[in-house]
Amino acid sequence: VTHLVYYAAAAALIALGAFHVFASRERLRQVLAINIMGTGVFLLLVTRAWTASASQPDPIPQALVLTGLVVAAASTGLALALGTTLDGGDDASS
Amino acid sequence: VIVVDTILTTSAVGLAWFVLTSRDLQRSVVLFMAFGVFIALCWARLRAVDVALAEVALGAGLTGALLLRAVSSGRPIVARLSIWRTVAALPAIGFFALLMWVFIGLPSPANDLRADIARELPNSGAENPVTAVLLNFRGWDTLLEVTVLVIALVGTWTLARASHRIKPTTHKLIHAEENRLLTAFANILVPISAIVAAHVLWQGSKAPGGAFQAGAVLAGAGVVAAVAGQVSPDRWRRSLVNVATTAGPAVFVLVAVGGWVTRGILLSFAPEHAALLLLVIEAAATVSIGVALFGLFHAVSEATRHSRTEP
Repeated sequence: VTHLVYYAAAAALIALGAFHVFASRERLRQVLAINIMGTGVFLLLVTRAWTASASQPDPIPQALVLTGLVVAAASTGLALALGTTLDGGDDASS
Repeated sequence: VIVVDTILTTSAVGLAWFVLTSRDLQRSVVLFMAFGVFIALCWARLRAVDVALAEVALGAGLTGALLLRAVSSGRPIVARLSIWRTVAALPAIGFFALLMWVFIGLPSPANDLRADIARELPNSGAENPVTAVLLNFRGWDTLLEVTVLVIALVGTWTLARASHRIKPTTHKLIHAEENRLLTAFANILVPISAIVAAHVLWQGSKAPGGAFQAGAVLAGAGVVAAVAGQVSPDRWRRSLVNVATTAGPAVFVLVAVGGWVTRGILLSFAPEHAALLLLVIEAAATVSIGVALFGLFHAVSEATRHSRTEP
């Protein structure tokens, strides 16, 4: 049952993020949406690592999520720099 | 316990909803940081303490700082309600249903490697299985991951420099706020953060913690120092950042090649030296991750500052 609750949250985050990546017009909000989608995927991985019986969850998905978190932060930085550079270009042209 | 699970997940999803629908972007970013804290609680609840530590430092902390920098520069775009949105909501609900169907149907992992990890753990040089997986068993992934960070930093910097060329301004690298309270806060927080980072790194071999979490804490300390104006351009050298950032992958590669020379296998560690080697890699990776993430923050704030000076 615990798995089910977290699966639902993961699916909700992924669907919510996906919707706003397409529906939003603001770049920053799209970056936020991508981050939320990513968090949904991480939630799926960590939920699958967890079992009620074992004291320690499976370390491999945890390691994957850890690397994923750092890469997500790095790509967010890159996306923001791209976005602001694009905005600067828009200003210059208009 | 199911009550706690339900409260945590509904709060997280609810916050995500408000992050994406709030009209004020600044509010969205702050809500996103709160969302990160709730997600960290979810990780702690699922006993993924390593991930929880990293999430608090990165997801709620550093990513939030990056986003706040970008939003403070942003020209507000009024969110418009279009027919598009209502039409797109239907596939989104369908997507949610599809995901649920797939998730519930997922088979339990066929090859559970927990037993193998437990067996090989004494030879890995770390007592914390997550650290052992990251640096020893799946060292290859982590090596490439640290390299990705360097590439992201180079890309972000190039963009920041490109906007610099469009609109040359004074060579002041960071927009420092004159604030004595902030300075005092930074004076206390930065040394403490450095100690916390060292502690998190050191205990990573036996308990939750390690290079990723320590690096994120270090980057956070750097961000606080920069916002307080303590990282001034005179003391600041780009080349130093480049050297520090590449040091992590470089040390990792050196150790990997060392394993190849002495044992014939790339990225293999002799069990008797493994603990020391892992610590060396982790220390280099911590500095590398910390400086790279701080460099990202720096480059983003520089890029946004230039777009801010645009008329």
